Amino acid sequence: MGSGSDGILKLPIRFAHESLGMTPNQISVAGFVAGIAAAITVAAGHLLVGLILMALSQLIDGLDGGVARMYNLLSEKGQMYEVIFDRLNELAMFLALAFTGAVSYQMAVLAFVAVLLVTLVEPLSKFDPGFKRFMLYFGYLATVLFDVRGFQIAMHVIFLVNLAAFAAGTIIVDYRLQREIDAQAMIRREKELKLGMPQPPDDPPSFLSKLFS
Amino acid sequence: MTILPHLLLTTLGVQALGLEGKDIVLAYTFGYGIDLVDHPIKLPLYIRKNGRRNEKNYHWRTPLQEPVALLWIVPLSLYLGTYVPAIFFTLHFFLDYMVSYEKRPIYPFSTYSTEGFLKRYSDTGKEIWTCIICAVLIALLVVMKK
Repeated sequence: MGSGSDGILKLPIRFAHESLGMTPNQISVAGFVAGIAAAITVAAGHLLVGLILMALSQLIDGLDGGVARMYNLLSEKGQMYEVIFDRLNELAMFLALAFTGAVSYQMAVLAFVAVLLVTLVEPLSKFDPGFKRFMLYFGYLATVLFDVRGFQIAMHVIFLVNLAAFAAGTIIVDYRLQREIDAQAMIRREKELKLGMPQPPDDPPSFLSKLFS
Repeated sequence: MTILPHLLLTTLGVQALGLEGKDIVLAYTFGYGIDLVDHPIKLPLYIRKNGRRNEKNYHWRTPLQEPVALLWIVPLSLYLGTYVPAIFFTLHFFLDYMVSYEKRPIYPFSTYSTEGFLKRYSDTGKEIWTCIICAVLIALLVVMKK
């Protein structure tokens, strides 16, 4: 959860830090422990209870960032812990679902690999579509309402969306670099024109530019 | 490289591996089609910089056709249950790395750039020889199958 949720979670954020005296890292650990408990509960066959615990873990997870932002306790280490704990919770939950047979081990591993790839590129691209544990709620609803392998479908969605997001993320970073390179070249060209410096000759027209001229 | 060597090498691969059905579609998608998706991405930037003038060495490539794309193509191959995307994409960038323009194989994770290999030979020569070798091998395979 990002800064957008800080407004909604104002009271729990204040309670966690001012009443309970918890630091952001302590809240991250609490969220991580709740997430592992959720995975163990799911693996033991108590699917609904496990998902409720997972929701609680995600709520706690939203508080650590809120406390850090509200009380100016942001740190690189804290952000790193948050990412590590999130990934470990996702891995635990995916493997727990595979253990119960709700998803195949192959899909659980592939979905996690795709999530890891997005984690790898997100610091550069600032692009992360989400679609991780949150999809599992839809998986549960699909299983209950339509009697299909909802979690398996959810894993497919998590895999495909995160894989596409990784590819898109690499393109976004490269596009920004090219835009910067081109901007520098255009500034240099304008300066040279103003100074009356001779311009390099244009490259001969390509086949495509002849075709469309 | 240009269109023809990519098409010929992909066709050679399809013939040699005896691919059928969806595998043929995947082979052409990752062996050649990736260029059709990749190059238009930077068209708005190119037009903003150059208009309709030709800039010969503009960096059209994106990470979509660099080796870094194997990070998503290999999991995709495992997901689809076929090695075809990974193999034919590797053949695609192998051909591209034979011609000498700037490439960034693992961008955005590193700014390392290279002009590929076999730099002492002319690009036109390499393209022509690639086409000839692929065409001859395709013809041989067709004759052998008959």
